[in-house]
Amino acid sequence: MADELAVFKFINSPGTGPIIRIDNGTGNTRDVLNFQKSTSEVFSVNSAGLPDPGGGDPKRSVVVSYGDLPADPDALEPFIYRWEKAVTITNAYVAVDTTVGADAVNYNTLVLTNATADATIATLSTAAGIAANTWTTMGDITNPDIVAGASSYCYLVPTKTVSGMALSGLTFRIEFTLAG
Amino acid sequence: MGATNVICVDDSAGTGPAMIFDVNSGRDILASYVNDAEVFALMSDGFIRTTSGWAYRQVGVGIGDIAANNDAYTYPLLRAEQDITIVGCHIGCDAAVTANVDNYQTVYLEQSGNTTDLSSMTTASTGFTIHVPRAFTIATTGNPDHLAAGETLQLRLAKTGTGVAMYGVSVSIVYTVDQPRATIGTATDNVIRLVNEIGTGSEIFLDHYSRPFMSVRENGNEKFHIDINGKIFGARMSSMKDYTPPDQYYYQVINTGQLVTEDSATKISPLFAPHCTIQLEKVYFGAITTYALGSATNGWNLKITDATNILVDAYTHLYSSGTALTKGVLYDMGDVNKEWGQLTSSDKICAEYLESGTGPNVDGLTFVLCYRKLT
Repeated sequence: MADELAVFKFINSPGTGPIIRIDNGTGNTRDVLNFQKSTSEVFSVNSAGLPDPGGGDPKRSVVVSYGDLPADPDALEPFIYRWEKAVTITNAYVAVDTTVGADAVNYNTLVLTNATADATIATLSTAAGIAANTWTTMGDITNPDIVAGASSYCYLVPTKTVSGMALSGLTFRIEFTLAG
Repeated sequence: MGATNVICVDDSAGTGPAMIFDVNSGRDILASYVNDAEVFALMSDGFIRTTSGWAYRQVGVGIGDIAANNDAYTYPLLRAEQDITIVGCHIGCDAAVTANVDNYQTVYLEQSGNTTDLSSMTTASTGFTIHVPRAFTIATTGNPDHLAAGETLQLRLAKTGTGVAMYGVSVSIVYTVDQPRATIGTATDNVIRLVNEIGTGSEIFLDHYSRPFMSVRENGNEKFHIDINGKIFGARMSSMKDYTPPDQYYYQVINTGQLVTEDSATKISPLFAPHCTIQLEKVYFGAITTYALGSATNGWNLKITDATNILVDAYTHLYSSGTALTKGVLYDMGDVNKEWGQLTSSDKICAEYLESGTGPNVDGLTFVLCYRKLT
């Protein structure tokens, strides 16, 4: 049983304002809170009020179910997701509801694209096939920063090789952390 | 280390939380201001009030192809366990849509709990550029942007003339979780007040080996907890009443498309895979057309599974045990199995389907997952 011997213990202290209030000017960018476990930061709140907790809290996910992608998707560029605030993409995955076998001749290349400068975030070739109901990573992430504004979104550029490869129930899962 | 902090606590003795706050007045625990504007506050009920991106929550909904005449359908977009406010919504297509003042679509963003639309847009004078989203301007007069717990955010289309087809449509929604209680006050009758302290290190710095950092309580009941790994929780201490602040719930929305007889015991729709251990709390489901309870024998058993175990299931269409579906409305699937509903980063959540008799086709079957992060 943990003890109650806190360093700071505030029990019904009088007043109506916050128990702890911190006032800074714009130029003061020091963190509000910084909690460390054996000298490694595990929780903080920065000067802009953005928390950076430990565990799974900093990372978020958004799932976007696109549906069926035809074997020849060259004319399509699906809009995937738009954020309101700046984020950093850390991982991208795809899943399908029907297995497609490996085909080194006829396949599609899926390029998840950052609308800021139309830069590649991640690329997946379906040549190796995709097992149904299995989240397949789109590989290494590049250009991960989504900057708040008109281009704070990502989209897909699919391209067929030879006859391409149809995908059923194509679903994207994008993981990201908050950047602002 | 810690020399430039205002408050620095290093390896203090004890095993309980280093900071304990217990209030019965509802006053805030900690607040931070920049140029007199609040940017962060921790409330005594564990709710985090902030102007940063932390407050913004994200869900995406794939709509698919929309026919030129799509008037019959209403798309369910989101339902939440808590009151939320829609702060942004964008819609995009995978192919260009040409503006046409005679034949066009009007796209309505609306909700089941308020007759005032959140927003609408048309393709009459402005079409869609391939992959480029258009923004809905969210109305606030009459509170249509406020989605009460249990209500459904919806998308509806109405054609003018012969309408226009829209392909590969996807909607992104950004919302904030409503603050459950009013702010008590921002007075400067604080126990500790730090004003433009000199230095560059964090204002409050704690470094410990094993003890939790913080416990926030109301009348002795824990509402918020930060453990030694920096993970935030609701009630965490043993003997405390179970409690989770509303902003510690997260959502995913997945439109699995049309359900047909051939899918029975065959089709498995991938819904989600967590990056950490989660507790699945609720699952909602709905469709884009209305389905009455039409038969005692013909319907569907919808099962949310981890590919092995049933986490929660529901029936549609059946008189005896099914749920009648009104188009565009999301329904609670019932209690989630608490044991199987705890899923690690190695697990996945999917939807499976079992036809009873001859179940009718279900269009635009949509699921909403509500979960908490446990690790």
